[in-house]
Amino acid sequence: MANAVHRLIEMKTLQPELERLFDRYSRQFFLCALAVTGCRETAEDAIQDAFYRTLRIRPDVVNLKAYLFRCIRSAAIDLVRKENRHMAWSAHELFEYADTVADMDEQRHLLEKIARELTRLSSDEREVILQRLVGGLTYRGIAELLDRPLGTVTAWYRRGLKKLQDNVKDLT
Amino acid sequence: MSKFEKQFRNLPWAGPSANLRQRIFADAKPESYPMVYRFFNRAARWAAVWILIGSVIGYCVGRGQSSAPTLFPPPSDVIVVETDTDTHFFNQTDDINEAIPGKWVLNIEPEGGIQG
Repeated sequence: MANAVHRLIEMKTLQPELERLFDRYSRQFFLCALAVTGCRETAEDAIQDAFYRTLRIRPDVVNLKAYLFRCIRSAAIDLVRKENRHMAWSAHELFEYADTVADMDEQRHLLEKIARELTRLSSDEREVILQRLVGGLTYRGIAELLDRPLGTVTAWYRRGLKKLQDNVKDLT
Repeated sequence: MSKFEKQFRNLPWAGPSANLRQRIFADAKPESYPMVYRFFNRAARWAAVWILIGSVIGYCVGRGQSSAPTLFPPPSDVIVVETDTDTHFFNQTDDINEAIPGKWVLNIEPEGGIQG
């Protein structure tokens, strides 16, 4: 009985905190998963799994945000393995653009090219670039998330970015 | 940050769908509070047991207010028959019902024993 009441109190405090974190970092959470899955739907499934697990397990962690990022990444990796997906990144999954507008043809070609170039990068390089540039995470944050030394993460970033720049000269 | 990095950042990257929040928090609710649900399930089970027990007791006591003999008869339904022998002796409910419908009989024997 006491245990149930204790858990009820924990649940009442955890859920609003998770909702607050979701409202604030949903885009970063999404990109964290998308950088692994390359598929919007699977990325959202991974986020849902991670939040579901967190609500169920109620982890005793100091930094819930960092914990959620790790959880989302793990869930994304699990889903990709489970679905045995071949990573073929498409512009349609990575970007928001209108298919029907003729003027957008040029932009669509560019986005498709970027998606292709991202596919050619190693998974580490791709993940670091997306987390850093699009997700807005710090190098230190990415290093903690990937559980790799800071130097390794920055090296992946620089190497990946150089490959991208060499192949896609201008993004405008 | 270089120009390329800025341009890369400003590409129209996909974002989470609008219903993701609801999917997470609305769908997670029923299964995310297993202890609470278990607790209320247990409470509901015990409530059902006590309601059942209460109903049986209530039924038995309630029957005492009616004309039929009951397990716990009200005092007004009990008559005492004093006998000097054991000739008028009821120990079966059916016998009592046949003898005096709606009444309970306490048969007090001369030795001081009570039979009913």
